[in-house]
Amino acid sequence: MSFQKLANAFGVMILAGAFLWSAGVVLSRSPVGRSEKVQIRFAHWNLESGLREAFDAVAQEYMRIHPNVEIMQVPVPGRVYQTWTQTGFAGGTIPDLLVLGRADDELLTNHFLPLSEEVSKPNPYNAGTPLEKVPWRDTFLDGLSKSFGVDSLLETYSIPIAAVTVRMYYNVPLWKQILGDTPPPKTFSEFLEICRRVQAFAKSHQDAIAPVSGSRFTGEMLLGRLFQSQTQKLALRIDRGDTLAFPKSPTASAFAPGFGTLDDPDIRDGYAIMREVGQFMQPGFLELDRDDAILRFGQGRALMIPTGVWDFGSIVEQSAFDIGVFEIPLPDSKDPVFGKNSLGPVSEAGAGLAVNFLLSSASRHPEVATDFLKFLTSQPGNAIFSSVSKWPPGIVGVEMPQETLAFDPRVEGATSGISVAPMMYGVGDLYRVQAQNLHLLFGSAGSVEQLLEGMRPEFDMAVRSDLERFVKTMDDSSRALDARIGAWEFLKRDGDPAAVARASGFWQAQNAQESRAVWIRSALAGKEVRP
Amino acid sequence: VPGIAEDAGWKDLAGLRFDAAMAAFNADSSGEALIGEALAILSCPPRTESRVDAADHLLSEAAKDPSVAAAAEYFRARILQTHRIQPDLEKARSAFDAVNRQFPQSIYGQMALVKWAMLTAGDSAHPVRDFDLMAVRGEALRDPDAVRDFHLFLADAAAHWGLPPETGLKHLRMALDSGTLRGPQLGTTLVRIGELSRELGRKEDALEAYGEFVRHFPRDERTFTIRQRMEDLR
Repeated sequence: MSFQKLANAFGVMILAGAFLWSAGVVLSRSPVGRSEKVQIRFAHWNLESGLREAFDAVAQEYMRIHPNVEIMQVPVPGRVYQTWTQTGFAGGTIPDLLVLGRADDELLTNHFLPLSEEVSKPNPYNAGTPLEKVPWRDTFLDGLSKSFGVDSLLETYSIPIAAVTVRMYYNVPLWKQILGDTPPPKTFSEFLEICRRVQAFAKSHQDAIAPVSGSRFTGEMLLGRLFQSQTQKLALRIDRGDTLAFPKSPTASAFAPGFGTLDDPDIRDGYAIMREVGQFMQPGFLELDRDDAILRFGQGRALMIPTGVWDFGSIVEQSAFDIGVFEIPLPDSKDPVFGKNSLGPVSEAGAGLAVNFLLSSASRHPEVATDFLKFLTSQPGNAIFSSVSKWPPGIVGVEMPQETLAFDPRVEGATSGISVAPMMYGVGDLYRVQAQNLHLLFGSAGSVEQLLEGMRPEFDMAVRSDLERFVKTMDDSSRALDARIGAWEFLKRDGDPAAVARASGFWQAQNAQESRAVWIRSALAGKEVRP
Repeated sequence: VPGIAEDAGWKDLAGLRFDAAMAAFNADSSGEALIGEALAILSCPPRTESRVDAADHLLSEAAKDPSVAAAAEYFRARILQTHRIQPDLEKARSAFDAVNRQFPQSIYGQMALVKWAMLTAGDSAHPVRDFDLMAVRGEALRDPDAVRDFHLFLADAAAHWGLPPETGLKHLRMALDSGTLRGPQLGTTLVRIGELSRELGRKEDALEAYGEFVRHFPRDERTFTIRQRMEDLR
């Protein structure tokens, strides 16, 4: 045998060996399809400290009750979450349950199952509690009124699990060092005074301590709210239908021809208050992200940081000092500079719950996945979640964790104002135009006037393109309802009350959407005149 | 008596299982099945003129069956209004007008008037005249869902066209009295009735609407403001 033949035979043997080894490894695994247990996977991007542990605790308890079920958590970093989910939709690998921050009607109807029928029945895991006979829907703090699909499709697609609010965290020992026994501020003026004292302290001690740890994210948490405090009255003035709740989305609808303008004094004051408070964040904060801000606060280089309860665990974990928390004081009507636009503190009631789970239409066990959701949002299940994560519960009657009592949503308050665009997590042209010019507001030589002049050339075009895009989305959505209307109109002929209600609901949803589109188009055509 | 195939098809269509719906409707050649197949075609991507033409053809065939003619003609008008790549709104407006006049008792004939009103308002050069014309046509509506949607739209028109608050309030009340308002729109309608009644000095009416709102929507962000309004009125 020649050397060449020997080498070939050796190669074949190696390949055969590798194949046999691979086959052995694959066959010895316990893949999804071969497991005797029903596997339910859920994915989310909330990697904040405490949340994964809370999900694990709830899953463990569920699996103890249901030994034939295996609950698997799939945490995915937020930066890649959208790409990851889109790949999953395309490849059919999406988990049974998925947490989403937003979802349009097309995404909902194509990839998820409605839970409307389920939420109208009591949650069996509430047996023995005061919620035993209460429909699942009414056991949520917001009655699922903000669930995805409720407004436009009249279907309940998402199940939230927690109530989230934003507060100001502060470094307790640093507070005492700089401010002594000064209590947390109750008014906006007191807050400004505290910020000025911190700045003076930093200057006199040649220290780089910032009053507020800045980033584009914390800017949105604090400055975005302050802006909206200045547009509360404007929102009522342009609320042509007397609804007391001018639509927040898209923000461009507040600036359609005949509605608000960049030159409304309220808008100028909104940007003025942002600049006023923005100076208490470290220079260049617009270029930083949330993690940078948390790190700076944890290093003791900022006295305060505005963010939501979702960061509570991470901040406590990363900070080697005691943490205090207070509600961000907005200007009230007595404020000498910004009071004229204010209706007072903003209600956090009905603001919507968070961590919204959706049931994938590709789930092999939708009934088991739904059952797990029921447990997660029962009084016992949500209590486990809340006690471990420290996130405020989303279910009626579940106690707030002691550590996060300060995050209890404010119920007594007015409605919030409008915004031009968020500082972060926005979409559309108006968001782009504002984002590209914000440096003109916050730069050391910046001003409201410079910002407005920077935005002005593109502002009207941005409003128009955002609204045209929005109307097109509404057209697509209402057109898609024709099939459902036709179906339920024929299915209701036997008098089934559920079918009658469905048909009625879809007509209402479609006509409401089309009516709104009529008036947006009318405004874009210049037919709206501001009263 | 509807066939089993149609009911299965409608259930599939309601559940957005378009392929299954198509298969179920294909098994029958009744007018109802033709409408189901057309709606399934209109719902399935991609939206192309040839597919819309195919759906329109099925609907025109279905319209020959008197038992489903109203539905078939209504959806043909919807094709003109919204399903075509290039909608023809003027033709759609005429088509809805015709559906309403031809089938005034049918839900489709009555909903056609809602669509007709929207297309009329969207193109209106004479709002006050058109508003009066729409209001007169609306008096014939009897279906509670159509009454609700028609008068809600007229209330919106009154608000956007700057008509007196009494006008908007009247149409909001008619929408509420239909008894079919649900969800967030029920809440918003109650708020609007309360606000307009307060503006017009109708204290008791305002309190009644506000009270209903607070009872139905205790966790709405407007509830605190509404409670304050109620205290002020008392």
